[in-house]
This record gives sequence, C-alpha cells and structure tokens, in this order.
Amino acid sequence: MLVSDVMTGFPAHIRLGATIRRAAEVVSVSEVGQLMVLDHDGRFVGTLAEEDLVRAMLPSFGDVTAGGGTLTDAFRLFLEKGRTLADRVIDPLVVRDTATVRPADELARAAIVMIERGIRRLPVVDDGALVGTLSRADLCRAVIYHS
Amino acid sequence: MCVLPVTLGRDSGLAAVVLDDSAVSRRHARLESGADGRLVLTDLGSSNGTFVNDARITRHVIAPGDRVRIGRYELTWTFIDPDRTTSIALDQLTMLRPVGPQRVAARRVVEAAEAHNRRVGHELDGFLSIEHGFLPAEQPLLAFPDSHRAWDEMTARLPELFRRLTLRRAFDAMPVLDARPEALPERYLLRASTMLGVFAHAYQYMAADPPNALPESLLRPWTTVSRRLGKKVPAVSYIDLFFYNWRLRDPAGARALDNMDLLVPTWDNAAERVFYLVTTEFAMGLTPVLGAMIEAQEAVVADDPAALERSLLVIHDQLRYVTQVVYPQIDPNPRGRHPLDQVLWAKTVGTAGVPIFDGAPSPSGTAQPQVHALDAFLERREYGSMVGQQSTYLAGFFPRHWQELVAALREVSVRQYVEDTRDSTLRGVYNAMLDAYVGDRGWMGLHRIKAYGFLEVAFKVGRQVTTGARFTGLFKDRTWDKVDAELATVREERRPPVGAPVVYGTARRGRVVTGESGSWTCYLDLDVTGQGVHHLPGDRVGVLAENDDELVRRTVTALQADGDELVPLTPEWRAAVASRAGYGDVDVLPLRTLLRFAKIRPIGREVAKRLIRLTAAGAWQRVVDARMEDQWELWDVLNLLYAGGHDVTRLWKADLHEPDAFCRVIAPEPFRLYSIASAPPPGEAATTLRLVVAGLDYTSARTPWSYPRERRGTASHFLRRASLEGRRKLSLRIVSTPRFRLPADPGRPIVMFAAGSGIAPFLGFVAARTGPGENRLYLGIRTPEEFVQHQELNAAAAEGRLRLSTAFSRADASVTFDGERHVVGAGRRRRVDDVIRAEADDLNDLLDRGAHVYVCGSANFAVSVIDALTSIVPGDGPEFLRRLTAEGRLSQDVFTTYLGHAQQGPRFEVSELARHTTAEAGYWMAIGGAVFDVTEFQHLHIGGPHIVRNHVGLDATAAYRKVLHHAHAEIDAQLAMYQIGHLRRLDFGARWGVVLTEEGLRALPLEELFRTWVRFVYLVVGMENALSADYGFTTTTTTSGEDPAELTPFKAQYVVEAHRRFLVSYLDGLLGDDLRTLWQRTVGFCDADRDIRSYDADLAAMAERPEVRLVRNSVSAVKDLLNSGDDVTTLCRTYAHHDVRLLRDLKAAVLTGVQAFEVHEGEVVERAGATLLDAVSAALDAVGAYYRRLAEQTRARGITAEDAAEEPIPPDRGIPGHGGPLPLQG
Repeated sequence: MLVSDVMTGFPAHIRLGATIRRAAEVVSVSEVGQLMVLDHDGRFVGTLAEEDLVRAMLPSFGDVTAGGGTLTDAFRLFLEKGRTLADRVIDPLVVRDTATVRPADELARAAIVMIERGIRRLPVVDDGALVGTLSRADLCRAVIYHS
Repeated sequence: MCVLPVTLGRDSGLAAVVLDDSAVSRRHARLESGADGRLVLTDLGSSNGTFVNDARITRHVIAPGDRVRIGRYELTWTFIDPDRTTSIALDQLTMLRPVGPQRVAARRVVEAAEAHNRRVGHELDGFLSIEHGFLPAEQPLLAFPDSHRAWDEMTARLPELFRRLTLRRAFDAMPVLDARPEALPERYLLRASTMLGVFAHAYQYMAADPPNALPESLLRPWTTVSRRLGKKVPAVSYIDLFFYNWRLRDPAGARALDNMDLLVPTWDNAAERVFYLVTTEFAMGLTPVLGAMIEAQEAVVADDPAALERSLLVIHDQLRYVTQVVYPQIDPNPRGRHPLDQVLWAKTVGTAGVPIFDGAPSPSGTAQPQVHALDAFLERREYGSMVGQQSTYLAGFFPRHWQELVAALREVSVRQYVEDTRDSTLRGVYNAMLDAYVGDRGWMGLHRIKAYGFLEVAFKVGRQVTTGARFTGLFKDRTWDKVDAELATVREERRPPVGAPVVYGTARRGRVVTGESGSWTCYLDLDVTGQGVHHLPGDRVGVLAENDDELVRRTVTALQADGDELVPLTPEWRAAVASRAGYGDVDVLPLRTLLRFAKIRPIGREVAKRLIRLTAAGAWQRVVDARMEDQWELWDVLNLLYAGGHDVTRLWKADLHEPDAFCRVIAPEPFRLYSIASAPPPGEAATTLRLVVAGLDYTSARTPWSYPRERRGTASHFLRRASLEGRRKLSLRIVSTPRFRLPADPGRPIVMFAAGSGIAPFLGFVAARTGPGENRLYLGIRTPEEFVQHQELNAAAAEGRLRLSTAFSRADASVTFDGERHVVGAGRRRRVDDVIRAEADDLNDLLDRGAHVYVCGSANFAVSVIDALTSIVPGDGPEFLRRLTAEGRLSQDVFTTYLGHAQQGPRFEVSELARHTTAEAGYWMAIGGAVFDVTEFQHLHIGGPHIVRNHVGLDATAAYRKVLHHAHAEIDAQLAMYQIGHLRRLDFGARWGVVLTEEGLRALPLEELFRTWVRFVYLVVGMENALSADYGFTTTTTTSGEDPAELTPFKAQYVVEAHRRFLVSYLDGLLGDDLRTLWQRTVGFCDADRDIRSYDADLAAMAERPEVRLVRNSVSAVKDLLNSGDDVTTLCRTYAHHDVRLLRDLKAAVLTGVQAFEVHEGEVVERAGATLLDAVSAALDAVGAYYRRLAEQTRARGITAEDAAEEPIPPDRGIPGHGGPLPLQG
C-alpha cells in the first residue's frame, strides 16, 4: 500500500510571514497539532507544531525572577507572553529540516520513520509541492481498521 | 670424566667438580666407591643439603637411575662398572660432568650486583641479592660519625617539636653540616638520605601552611646527598622510607614488625610505626620471590616442568603469606595487636611522603621494586592508566641494579611455556599464583579495598597537604571513588590468566542423606588430580552450576522458542562460557545451552530493573517496587510480561548491540561457593575436594506480588545430580579465606560450632590438625537420620584429638563415642546454644588457654552461638568477643539460607534511620533497602570502625558495593546477622507538581521531591559522620609521649583547618547548592505565591551580618595566634563542638519535613506544605544561630578581625603523589 492511498489531502497549512495568532486560529479550527508551512511561492518549507507555540509562551527562570519570582507570577507571565507573541510572525518557530515522504512511497517506510523519530504527522511532498499529510491515525485506519 | 673419590662444591680450590651456585657450600659433598664397589654419596655438612630423589641424605648408596641434586643442579652421572670393563682399573670409576641449568639473564644481573656491592663496599647502586632481595644485605647504620652528631640528635626531638609546633624554629637554628664526600663517606649516604628526607618533609608538612622555602641546614646537605646518589631533585624515595628506615630490636631476632623499630620516626605514633614497618616487612616477606622467579625462568630454559611448578609455588606461597599474614597487620581495629587509626594516618603519615619539589618522584606504592619485578616476570605490557604511567615514571628513578633486573626478567617467558605445554598442573599453579598477585582476594585486590577504606576516611577528614585530589572541592565530590577507579583500571593492565581461570574436577558418585522433613544433604567428592590445586583448610571452592532440563525447557517455552536458536554472546558471557569444561572461545550458543548456563532463578534485583526498563508491564513494576522479584524465576516473569503485551521473543531475536539482547539482560550463573571439607597433606596438591551440600527447596510466598510454587536451588540440585551420575566434569575456582584459618601454633586449642552442612570446613580442619592442640566440635543437627559417620572425625576421636558434642534439635537423642565411632543413643533434644551454656566452664577454660573459635552455619545460627558465648564469658561479654575478634581468634563462615523477602521483618522510616548515628541512639545503616543495626558490628569490622561510622544513618548501598562486599557471598551473608528490618517504601501514587528551576519550569513527580529531601538528609548525615571522625582526632595520641586528652598545638591546628573546611567545603555547599535546590522544589509544590529568590536574599543577608563575617574572617587570625604560640585551645574546642552541633540541628530541622512525607505520603503538599517550608526556614535559622554562638565565643577570646578577609582556598594540586608545589631553586 502506498502513501498516496491513505494520506489526508488538503492539509491544514499556513504561509511564512503569517502571525502566531493566525497559526493558533488554524490549529484550533483544523484540530491538527502540526501545521504545514509553505513559502511565498507555495512550496513546502517545513512544519509548525502547536507544541512549539506553547513552549514559546513558557517563561524562563530569568523571566519569572524579573517578573516577581513566584510561581503565580510564572503562571501570569505565561498568559502575558501568549498575548505578546500573538502579533509576531511564525517564521522563527518553523522547523525546516523535517522528514517528508513521497506519495509513491510504501506505507511501511513512512511508519518506520514516524515511530523511530517520534513524528505524529508526516508531510507528503512531491517535487517540492505539498500534496498531503500522513498521520498515525491515517496509518491505523488504513492498515488495521480497514484490513 | 673424573676419578673417584671426587669432591663437589662451589670453591674451585677445594672441589674437583665446581657447582656455581650460592646455595652450594664450598665443599658440599663427596662421591666415592664404597666397600662393595658401589658408588656412595656423602654430604660434607653442607648448609643447604644434598638430595637423592628429593630426599635429603647424609650418606647414601646410589644406584643407576637415582636423581642427585645439589643446590639448583640436578646431576646426571654414569657409573662405569669396573667388573665388566676390565680395561678400566678399579680406581678409575668415572662420572659425567654435572650439567647445571643455563643461567638466565636475571641470575647474571643478581650475581653481578652481589659481586659489585661486595667489591665497592656499599650498596648505593641498589640493594640486590638472592638472600635479601631488594633489601640491604647489611642492616641500616644506626649512627653517624661525631661530625654529624647534630643530625642524630635531632631525630629524638621530632615528636616533641611536632607536638608544640616548634619544629621549624628548631631546624632554622640547626647548623649547616657538610655532606660532601670529604666530610661524609659513602657508607653514610643512605642514612643521610633517609634522615634528611624525613627532616625536610617534617619541616614542610608540620604546619597546615607550607613554608616559603627549606632552611639552609636542610636544603644544602639534602641536595648534596641527593646529587651524590644520582638524584637530580631531592626527594624522599621508597628506599629512604621503607628499605633503609628500620632496625632490629634483637639483632639476631626475626625480621618482623614485633622485632623492628623505625630508624628515623617523625611523630613516632602507632600509625607511622605500623604503616612503615609493615611495608618493610612486606618487602622482606617477598624476598624469596626473587630467587623463585629466577629459578622458574631457569626451569623454563631447562624444560623442567617439575622445577617450574616448585618455583611458581614458592612465589604463590610467599604472595599469599605477605597478603594474608603480613599486610593485615595494618589493622584499623582499635583492639588489634597493631591498631592503626585511619584518621591519625590521614593527618600524619598519609601525606608525609608527598614530594616537596615539582617533578620529584614520590615514594608511592608504585615505586615498589617487587611490583616492577613481578610485572616484568608476568609480562605486563600496558602502562597506559594514570597509575601505570606513574609507575613507569617512578621506575626511571630506580638504582642501576634494579633497572637491569627488571629488564632482564623480561627475557624469558614463563607464561609462553605454560601456555605451550598445556600442562593442567602448571596452568593451575600459574593461574593460582597470578590470582594471589592480582586477584580480588590477592595482593592487588586486597590493596584496592584497603586503599579505598583509607582514602575514603582520609579525604573525608580532609587530607592536609593532599596535593589536592580536590580537597578544595565540595564534600560530595567523592574523590576517593576516582582514585579507586584508577586502581581498578591498573589491575586490568596486567595480563590475564593462561586459559580460563578455572580448574576442572570430576565428580565421583556421592551420597545423599535425607531427613524426615524431606530436607537433604549431599556428600560429594570431586577428583582434582593433576590440576595443581593448592589450598589450605578453611578455603572455599566455587562451582559453576548448570540449570536442570526442566527449568530450561520451561524457560524456552516461555520465550516462545524451540531452543535451537543461536544467540550471540557479550564479552562477559564469552568469558563465562570459556570457563565451562568443553567450551572454548565461542561467539554464539544455542538458546537451550545458554539457558543452562544463565542465572535465571531467582530473579536478581538488577535484572528485575532491566526488565522494567525494557517493558511497560505495570504488574512487574509493582512486584519490583515491593522488592519481591526474588520470588520469581525468569520463565515466570516472561509469562507475566507476555500477558502484559510484551514481545518476549525480542530477548533472543535482538541483536547484540540492542539493549534487550538476552546476554545484555541476563547474567551468566556465577561461581557458587562451598567450604572445602577435606584437607590435602601440607604442601601438597589436593587430589580430592569434598563438599557437603545442603539441599535448597522452598515455596515462594503467597503475597499480592507473588504466588506459591515449589522452587529449587540451582547449585545444590546441580551438585546432587552430579553426585548421582558421577563422572561429570565441573569448572571450579579456589577461593581463599584468610580470615578463616587454623592457628599457626598447632598447640592452641580450637573450638568449632557448626550447624547442618556448616560442618564442612571443620572436617577439613580436623583432618589437618594432627598436632597436640585440642579440638572441640559442637554440631547442631535436627534428627539422628541426618547424622553421618565421618571417617576423619572417628579417627581423630579415637586418637584423642577430638571431642564432638552433638545437639539434636528435633529428636531426643545424643551422640557418644564408643572408642571406634560416634554412635547415636538416647538423650534430650537441645540446641547448640543450650550446650554452650551447659558447658560454660569447659569453654571458658579453653578460651583461657588461647583457643581459637570458629562458627559455621546460617546467620541465625551464628547469632545464637555469639549470643550464647557473650552470656557465658567472664566480665563484659560483648567486649570479650570484640577482643577475641581483634586477636583473630573468632572467625565466622556464615551462609544465607535462602528465604526470600516474604519473611521480611519490621519496616523503618528514613527519619528513624537518620537519627541512629550516635553511641547513645545506636548506629544503623541501610543497604539494598534493608536496615542493619551495626552498633556492635562496628567493633568487629575488619576494615575498622571509622568506615562503618562513615556510613551510619544513611543508605550505604553504593559504598558497600564499591568494595565488592555484595559479590562476596561470605561477607554478604554475615550482614544478615545484623539485619533488623526494611526501609518502608512510601506511596506517592502519580502525584506531581510544577517547580521553577534555572532551566525553566518543570513538572516533577512528588516522589522525586521526597527523594530530594532524603538525599539532603543523607548528605548532612554523611557530613556529620565525617566531622565526628575528624574531631575525634583530638583524642588520639599523635606524637609519642603525649597525653591524648591534651589538645596540643599540633592537634589544634587540625581543628582550625577542619573548621575552615567545614565552613567552606561543607556549609557553603550545603546552603548554596543542596538546601537551595530543596527550597526551590518545595516552594513549587507548596506555595505558588512565594518569591523563589527569597532564599537567596536570606542567604545574602546572612552573609552580611557582622557575626557571620567575624566567624569566617577570624579563622586565619586564630591560626596565626596558634603558630605564634598563643593558647587557643578553648576556642578550638568550641569550633569542634558547634560544627557537629550545627549538622545535628540541620538534620533535625530537615527531618521534620521528611517525617511529614512519611505521615501524609501522597497528601503531604495539601496537609503539610507549610511544615515543609518551615523546615527549610528552620534549617536556615539553625545556621544563623550557629554563627551567633561562634561569634560570641570568638569575641570572648578577644578576636575582632575587623579588617581581616576570608582566606582564599588554595588551588587544586592534582592527584596525590604526583609532585608537589615548590619549584626547586638553584
């Protein structure tokens, strides 16, 4: 079975230069934890994980001590940082050297790289163009549920 | 050819046949024709004897085929019979010229050295002779000529000068004496070298701070003497301290510790005397090894395996003698014959040899010439480790003869010869000799354990000059572990045994005796003829057992395999398999065979934890958390894991590099130890090893974490099968038991207590004890059916050498001796301790006559015997037994009867453990989750009480394992005698919290927060132990002639030093690092509104308080007062008292928090969060109070030190013994 047989077409994506607020919106609407990122020419450049969005909001030790020093301050800073981050662009948070698969790849090939590297959703890229994504759920559905 | 009569001897003027050997007398023997025309050999009163067929003769008629030996010459001869050869006249009987073995290079070096030293009249080019080895042939000189009397006179004053800290002034005032050849002849050079070296080091190290330079009165003559001895940089050498620093009290007496004194003592305290002189005696004990190594090489050249075996045995026996008899005289037991207090050692002797000048060689153990000679003889090639490099470096400073000898010893390969001949006897003896040198229980192994104990104590009490070893670091750096790792590496640089380090024995058919309860004992003989097995009574033999077919089948099934799968082996496994009879060096084994050799029951703790890491099975995790893994066997666990979804086939399918490969998870079966129940004739190889094997069958417990099932002991059932089949070949290893030995004096009585199969070593004892001493054996046994006739016991009783008392615990019976054998008759049931009480007078009489006492049996049995003995001896019972132990007269061979954890006793809390650190509360420690009361044991510990007390009140598992105590079954089993219960495991469920750390916000399990608290407590307890030892130094005798109760200036300076170290190394680390972490984590869990920096702010505020500044800045002022002769004794005592008290206060504060965890467990944050935070504050308050108290005392002494600054910490100087700090001027 090939990747193209089970992948999700029309993946949730976002372009470089978009704001973090926009990314958060796409994440919440699409209910996908990992957004595909395209450049201004529409070519695939990398991925943006919701995990990295959240991590960017966590205050550092220095942030907390500068902002009061208590754990309560840390929790408040988390929220404030979220607000501050909203208007910034996503570009620094994009992971660019991400593993991809081709539509014509065998499914097992994709499964191996996902398990070994802890990837939840793989971009399916054909000659630089994003054609879909392959998630662990896609694999389970195709290989186990529909077998 | 020569004509009879003919004289044989060493002197060419007196003997017709010259035998060139120092062991041959000048006129040694005569060969002549007797009355009946036969050849007669007569010994001419030679010193070392003439031998025919290895029997010493005075006059002997020799026949064709007889072997004649004189010295190291084996004489071959041909007797031409005149009756048959009429052409030769009767007086022309002839013999062939004796052929001696070829002289090897090492012999030529020694002979040349002996000749050279004789010719020049001194031994400056190196002591070297067959008779005295590396020690001087002439005893060290006792005095200088009058011109240098000033030096001699100074010697006697050293202890007093040390005590009063006036030594530097005295040397500054000493005249500068001339050490040039015209003033000081050659023969005095070695004495001058030793004395000036000792003086210089005394000058350097008397006070905590080094002097700026050596005074002219020392530096000039020392430099001159050193140059004359070929040393570029003045330095104290191994020769100075150990080979030329002794004199015999009775010049005709033995060269032994009891008959020796130091030539130039420094402090003249017990530590110095024992440490130096034992090292000297050790070298003396090794003297015969030199000749034996040369003879071994000559035997190789002459292709004479029998002679080689004899020489190797000489080396083996001497190594065993020095490690088991001489070395243990360095005895940390305060009740010992030559007690050596490790703290006293650390503060005085331990660092005295550290070189003064940069780049100078040190007199460290690696400078021992014997080590270099043995390493050369055994062909060590690698010197890459740090100790190895130091060793090579130091050998470069050897005198000429030693360097030549070490090089010459490399010219003949004994090892290659042993390998090539494939002679099992030679191989056995060679490997035994190697084991006596580098094995775990050999010289290097013993040295490593002893060094670890000494270094640990030494570093914890802050070795003074230490050249570092990071004594400036924080307490928890554990420098001694690093040094120990070095010593482990260096042992591996020596070459491994020839072939596998095992001997092979063939099982003979044995006998199984079954009691009415079903318990059984197997009596089994192993034939070890021709294996070169030399052992002493009391030794043990390790047996490599195999698992039975049923267990293997069950495990194969559980692994879902068919057993033929090939499994790759790790290096550890390869070595283990190579030890099995019939297996060479193999890379893979079929799974079925592998399982026969694997340790698969019961499951050990390490394997259990590995299985947790590899699988996600919660059921197994719970078993291991409850410490119940030992109720399980591998196949059981596999079934459990499979039920939890784990792919058990991974174990045999995984590649070797993967963590779940079988050989990475499961260890090979180790050697299981049994006491040898037989004794070979003295000096001969054993042909038979008898074993008494108690069967092990038990039922695993029914608990929430295990289920009842019949289980069997692997080794006992294996040996039972071997005894039923006969002829099975077993892999064995002889393990010596230096602490379980018969008295050297055969006239001493011995008393033996045995239960069940504990009779084993005593069968060997009784067989070996044919001398006049009485032998008493008390045997505990259940029923008459289990009583076995032993030929040795019957014979000994018939000869009146043995009295046996048997106590039957489950039958009304008794044993009497009918003149021929022991017979069971009517009696009353009783236990051995009942018999001890009943025969108290008799036993006390034996003890009065110096009896040695031996106990062999289970831990419970040993405890009952010891308790009974304690109750019957006169006076203070425990004290009596402590003395008995210290005198080496009480030996225990304890074995565990496996019960598993199901029977575990009471549970204790960490907070209880941590409080048991004083004489009043008693001393407890935890090892592997179990709690031990070591209050009494500390007095019995072979390594001395300091090491035990260093680990009380905390988890000592790591230290225990570090010295391999857990791997030595006999030690591990003895521990069971002191076990009182287990540490309770607290249940925190899956609780977690958020904490703010320097790395950011983190989620932390509540259990980890608890561990942080426990780690802090253990750290404080460890410091409390170390500091108590440190200040305990103030009550020891540090210099000869002092009152130990007096706090002399010499001792006071160590108090000041320890106090400074307490402030800098202990307290700053605790507050700035460990307590801070504890605070950070606890705040995260307990108070979200607390500013994390408040701790740092409190700490900073404290540092600014005037009392804190006074306490910290006044230390150097106190030191100055001390050095200028002022009395600061009271203040020093205040330091010692309050430093220890602070640690106790800190512990008490933090334990309040630990107790909150113990009470509330998972709910601790909700119910007692404030208690936890208060505990940290209380700890800080305790520190504040400490500073206030000390400041008050300091001010009371009139010290203000307003403008003084805190003394900077000197830089780290590296590992001890690697060169000192002073650059050499000029």
